[in-house]
Amino acid sequence: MPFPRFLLPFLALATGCAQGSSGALGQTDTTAACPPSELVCAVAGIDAPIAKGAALPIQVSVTSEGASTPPLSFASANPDVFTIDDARIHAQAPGIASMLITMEGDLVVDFLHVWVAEADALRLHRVTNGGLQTSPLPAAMEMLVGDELTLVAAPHRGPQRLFGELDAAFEADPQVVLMLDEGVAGSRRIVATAAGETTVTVKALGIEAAVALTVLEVSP
Amino acid sequence: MSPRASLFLLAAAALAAGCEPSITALTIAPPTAVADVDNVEKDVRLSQGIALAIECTYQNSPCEDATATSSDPEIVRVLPGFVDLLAPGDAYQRYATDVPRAVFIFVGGKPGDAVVTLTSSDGNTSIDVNVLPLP
Repeated sequence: MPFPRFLLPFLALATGCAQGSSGALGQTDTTAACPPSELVCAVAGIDAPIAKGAALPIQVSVTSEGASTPPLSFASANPDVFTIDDARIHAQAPGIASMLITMEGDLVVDFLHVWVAEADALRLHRVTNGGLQTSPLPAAMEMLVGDELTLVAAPHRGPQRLFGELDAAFEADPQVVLMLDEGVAGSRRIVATAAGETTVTVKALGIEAAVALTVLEVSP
Repeated sequence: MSPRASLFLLAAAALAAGCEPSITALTIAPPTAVADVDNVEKDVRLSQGIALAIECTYQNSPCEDATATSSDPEIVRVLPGFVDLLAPGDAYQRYATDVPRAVFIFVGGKPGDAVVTLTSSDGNTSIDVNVLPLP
């Protein structure tokens, strides 16, 4: 069942109105930049390390009272750990460094310590119609001809799901499923086109994940 | 030198030391990193790649017309900071004041030693900064 959209504001309330990770000076909130449909993402902060090799688009707002957010720039305090380009954090190497949030004249309005970690697993998650992602998929699934399934590959390290968009390569038997690239990094919409078996294989960050799909045809 | 003269010089030195601006850390280091401020010794230990907000005060008021420069910006960069009294994250015991607070952001660069010179109309002070590699 799709997640009812009218519940999304209550989801934000349930998370304590958290709108992101507060800066060290308490003057900014930083979130991953998400489509408006991904409310869970939008109310969460940078609450996990970013996977080495991944990129994370961010959105920063100033929380001072009586002021809208001024023109901001972002800078890394250690480009060996991560760089920032056009409001995207590019994770370079495991470690920690501060992200400076500055205004014109290098005036620092806040900063945030950001961790980068090396992923040790890649897991596939199903994206529901409401834009929510389920827990990792099992090793095998069944579909009917005509069914659709949107998958997203996510980096993990131990028990933690890491942040970051992946440049992932998807492979499967084109006689059984069609895989559509809808412009979402690390994601594909999979349409079952014919009965048969195939394995969807995803490669990113030098790690591979797979789910075996059996496509069944309903006999009239 | 007579004991009385020594006592006088000691008192004068103590008074002079008390006239230096004070430095206080406004933020803390994340786990595994270091960001320590010693106001008595006027030194700072900071991890590579970590930012630390430091406030300059003089007799419990913000240092006036304060500026700060680093002897080696590759080791430690110093940037002016803006602290808003009305920000909701009021975790750093902000006090009401009618003058802007003098806050500087120290950013650890490559490991090594450098000196940050803090000047203000309330007095000048030198801060020894030791930047440490991350474990």
